[in-house]
Amino acid sequence: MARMKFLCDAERCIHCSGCVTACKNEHEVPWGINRRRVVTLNDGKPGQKSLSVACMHCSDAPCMAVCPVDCFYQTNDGIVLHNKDLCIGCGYCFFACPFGAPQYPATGNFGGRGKMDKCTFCAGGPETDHSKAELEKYGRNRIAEGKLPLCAEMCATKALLAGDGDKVSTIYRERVMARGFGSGAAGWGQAYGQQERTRERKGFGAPGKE
Amino acid sequence: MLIKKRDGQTAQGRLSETLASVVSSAVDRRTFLRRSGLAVGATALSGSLAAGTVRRAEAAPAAMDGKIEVKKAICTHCSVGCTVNAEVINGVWVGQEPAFDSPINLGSHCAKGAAVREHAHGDRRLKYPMKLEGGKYKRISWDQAITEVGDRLLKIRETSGPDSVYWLGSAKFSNEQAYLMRKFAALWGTNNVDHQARICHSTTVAGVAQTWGYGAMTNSYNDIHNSKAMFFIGSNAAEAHPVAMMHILKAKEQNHAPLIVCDPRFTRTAAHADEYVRMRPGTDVPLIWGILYHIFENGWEDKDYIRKRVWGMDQVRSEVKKWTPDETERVTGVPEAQVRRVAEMLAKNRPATVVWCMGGTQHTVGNNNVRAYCILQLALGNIGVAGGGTNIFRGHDNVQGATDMGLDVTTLPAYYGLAAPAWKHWARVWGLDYEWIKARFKTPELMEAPGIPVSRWFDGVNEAKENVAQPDTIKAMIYWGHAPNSQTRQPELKKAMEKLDTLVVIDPYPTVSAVLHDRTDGVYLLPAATQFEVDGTRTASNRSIQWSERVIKPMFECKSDHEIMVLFAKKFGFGAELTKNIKVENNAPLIEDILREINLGAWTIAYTGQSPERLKLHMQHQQTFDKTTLRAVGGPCDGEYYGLPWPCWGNAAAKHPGTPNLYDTSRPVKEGGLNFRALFPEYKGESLLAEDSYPDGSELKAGHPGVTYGMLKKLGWDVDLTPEELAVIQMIGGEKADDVAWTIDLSGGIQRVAVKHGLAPFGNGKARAVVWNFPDPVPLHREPLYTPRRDLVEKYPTWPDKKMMRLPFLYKTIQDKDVSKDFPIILTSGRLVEYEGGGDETRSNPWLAELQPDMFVEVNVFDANNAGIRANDMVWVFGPEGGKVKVKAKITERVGRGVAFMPFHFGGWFQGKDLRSKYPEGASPIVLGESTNTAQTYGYDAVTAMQETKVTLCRIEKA
Amino acid sequence: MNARRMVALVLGLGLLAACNAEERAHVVKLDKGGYAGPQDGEITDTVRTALGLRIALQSEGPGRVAVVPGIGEMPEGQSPITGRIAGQKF
Repeated sequence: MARMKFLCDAERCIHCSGCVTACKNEHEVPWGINRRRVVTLNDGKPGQKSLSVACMHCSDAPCMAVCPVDCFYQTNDGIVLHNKDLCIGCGYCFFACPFGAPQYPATGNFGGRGKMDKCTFCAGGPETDHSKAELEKYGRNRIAEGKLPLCAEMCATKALLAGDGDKVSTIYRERVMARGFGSGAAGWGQAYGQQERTRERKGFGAPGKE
Repeated sequence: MLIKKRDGQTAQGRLSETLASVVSSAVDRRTFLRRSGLAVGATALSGSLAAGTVRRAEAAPAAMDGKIEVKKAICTHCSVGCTVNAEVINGVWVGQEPAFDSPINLGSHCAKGAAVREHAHGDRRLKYPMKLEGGKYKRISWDQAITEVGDRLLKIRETSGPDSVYWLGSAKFSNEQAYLMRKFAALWGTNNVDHQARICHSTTVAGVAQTWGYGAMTNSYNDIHNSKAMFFIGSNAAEAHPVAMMHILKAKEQNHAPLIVCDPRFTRTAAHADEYVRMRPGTDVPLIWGILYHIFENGWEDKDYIRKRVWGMDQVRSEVKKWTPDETERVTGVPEAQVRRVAEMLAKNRPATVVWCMGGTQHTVGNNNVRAYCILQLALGNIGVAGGGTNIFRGHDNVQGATDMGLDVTTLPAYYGLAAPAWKHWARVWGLDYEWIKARFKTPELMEAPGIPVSRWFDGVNEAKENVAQPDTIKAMIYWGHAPNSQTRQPELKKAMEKLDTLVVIDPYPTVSAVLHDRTDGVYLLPAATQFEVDGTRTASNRSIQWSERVIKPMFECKSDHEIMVLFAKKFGFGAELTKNIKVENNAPLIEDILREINLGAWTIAYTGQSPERLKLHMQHQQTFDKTTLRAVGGPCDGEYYGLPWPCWGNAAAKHPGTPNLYDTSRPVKEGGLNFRALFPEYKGESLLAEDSYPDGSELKAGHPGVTYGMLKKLGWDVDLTPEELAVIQMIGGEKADDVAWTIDLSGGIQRVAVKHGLAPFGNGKARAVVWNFPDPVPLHREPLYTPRRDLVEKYPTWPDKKMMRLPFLYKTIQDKDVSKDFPIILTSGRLVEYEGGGDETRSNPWLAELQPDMFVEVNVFDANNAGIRANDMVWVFGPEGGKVKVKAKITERVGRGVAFMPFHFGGWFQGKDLRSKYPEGASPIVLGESTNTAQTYGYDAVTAMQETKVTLCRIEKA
Repeated sequence: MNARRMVALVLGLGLLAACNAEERAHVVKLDKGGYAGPQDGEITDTVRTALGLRIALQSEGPGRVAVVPGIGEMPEGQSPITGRIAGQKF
């Protein structure tokens, strides 16, 4: 079974924020909400590295575990989605998420939160595919159109990869082999578990190899 | 962990205040909740919506059933030339898909490119013509605007002469518009017509062309895949040309090509470098000579290449000898060992490519810098090979094209210059009488005299009349697609704007020109269409010409630039002459016809084979082009290079494939090969023709001058000319038909026959390491006008003051005054990835504005602590000429000690004052800020009048 | 026991009783359940194949360094620190 994953290659990311505006453009995400962001570590110093971060659609998603109203579900392709009709904006998922992915529109003067919004892997939400309701609540559903997340498809340096995890790691592995060193895919192990990381290291995981 | 939570909201404080008025009034809180925050924000930001601008959220459900049209346009930001695939339904731009077929960007975009669909919202555009009356902008009709502006300009023409109106064009124009604008200015009767290239790469264009022929990027972004080393100097590609980084990082990854970045600032490009060279701003020539010192010492230069193809290297060698490792370190501040390491890297990893941008060009010594870079590559034998070259990344999306189209004070289209033969050539192309054009000018001398450069137009207003070498000072300024805040010395510029009789802004946005001055009348704002609203071709940095399709109709009351030109030409009484060979429908001239006219005349750079049909075919079949060589494999464009990069010899029927890498002798001219141009066949009796070097398949195994009809006759090749071609040559040459050269033969026959026999029409000469017609024939180091190193001024002084381009130019006078005690910190400027140019367009785009809401100055930790400045404090940056800016302090080690950096995209604040209230209603950019150029100072290149923005001095104090 | 204490006790008991009534209707789930709302339809195999093919576009083409998938150990270790600042001597 294909499992959808994101991978950001820190050796390639140049912090151009193309992924951020691609996301805004595709889903008309309003001002103040950032489903995807780029962070730079060691800014202005040697060893500076940039990474594009959004919901990683973790295998064992902490947000799902902590949600008091169980508004999250995971599709058969591993995409973690949530239902805004059930969400109460409590913010637990934000504290649980290792990537700081959940976002909340500010709704009042007392720090009140609106319903949580996050990256959908461009897969919309529980509403009928391509319906007006889905579009307004969750944004475009590219997956149903046979297209992958726009942030990765538009990445300026092809640092951000999205799609079937095995194929993502094949592309990434090719680069790592050429480079001769292994770092780069930050957050990958965190999101998809130690086992996946080991598979990755050993060079397995190509389609049809297991 | 890598999380920096809520990073995107860090700077919301001030911004939210700014936006509070807009947002809170418009958003219904319940609506916001109900829709869970989607699609509302954008609506909230909009002032008013015109018909036809349905928002995607509303249009999209229909989208799923409706028919989606995909339009292929070109991104309107930088010169990489990314294809934008725009999805349009019923005339509404509803989506943007990655353009995977484009061999240049392979679907990729940076923040700006991924946000271009915001055009379809256009909330903060200038929506209709406006006129400043009593200090307020009032809406007027197009008829009234053309009549009033026209009358005012005609009156100035009457009283002060045509040169008192300054026509400032734009690198945002398509080739066709740029060409039409140059023609327009010629018919108006002035050479005071310029554009952004003057303040961006003019030193490159002049310096590089004088060195070996053409002043353009020699190879392509894609060709960097073949590089074995990459040397960047004064280029921050990661922010200025992000998609180019895809190709650069590919070479780094796959060829293990070391990436060397020389920059005073540790840029995002430097963050990916194998070797980061921190140099003192303004010491490019010493650094290059310091590197060459090791190359010559160790005999790493390509001696055979130099013998065959380079002239004057010995003179360079004796200058380089002076730059011993310790002297290089003393002047540049780069450790001796590192310079040696870099030299070795370049010598042992060939071919290496050299990339430079405005960090190299925007200096008083810009022309010296660029020639030094060229000489480094010539010494290594890296020019004319795949993977080598000087890959000069241009700035704007069509700055290469607009330069080629002669939107410039020193030349007619295609670098013909301004001498009488050039005018006669273009008069023939235009089908106009040369004498009639001449009569349009005040005097025949002014017709052949370079105009006032845009970098100094305001001096053309402020200077005393007797100091300006034209009948009167400038009285009217037409800002046609140019941000004023990208020019240094803003206080002077403001003064000039106030002194003008008439100020006209023709632009999709009001721009800082609408608000900088304190005028109460005499200002007109005319809304222009963007390039997404018109058809046209634009030339990417690698000389590939791409046809950009219209995505949507001009929004609001905007008109295309070419239509506005026709309207004014009609008003001025030369409408018929302007469009003599061009079909005009409803005042809009046909783009294809303009391009055909360009094809008919631009022989010098062989912009002649790129017919509209061929270019459209390339766009249709983008997927057939190889992503490294750019050559089509199969398909209808088989064997041609993407976008027919000029020179594309002969006319379209000759089917030349374009020239992907300039001066590459390994292939025949008819397949894109070339050699250096024989610009000067000899000097003081010494031949400058190439020795034992010629393009593959050339029938002449030696150097030769540019091809003329007479030369063809001598070689016996005139028999290959068709009778039609011969008739044209004889018609042009009359009795002196033998002198008709490859540049003025309108039939294209001379080029066709030359290429047929394997010859480059422009001759086969040596590159000139010594450009004897420049102020410093061998590039020399000269300390910046405002230098902190007073100890070096005596040994490396600047030039004496002089006069050129109708104005006095100061050098020594400025340098002699020591201000380094009061202004101890070097100030430099540069780009941010989110914004472009003056930033009026990008700062109006909410998707981009959100990412970069504050103007700032980067200060080193050391300097900040000494001045008692803390992070995010507001500080004053004082310039030595009295300008000052109030900005946020960013304390970082990104800049070295004693160096401060400011980005140049901000505007709308002036010396601490917020000018938002002065904008026309609903048309102010979301983000406003001080322009770094308010504090930037005097200093102009001695050849091209390029402004100095990269080295000046400043003092930083807590506000 | 004085009257005040009596009142307090009665009130306290009353409150507890009220709470009890309130709590009686509330089912406390100790093992958290799963999502019970509507879900997306399964994506079809055709779409899944299309997605699988489309990812190739995220690579800029095969590298020239020959890599046979699945063969050989992945290189490990950190990248060399990029952008070392060799020194500033001005």
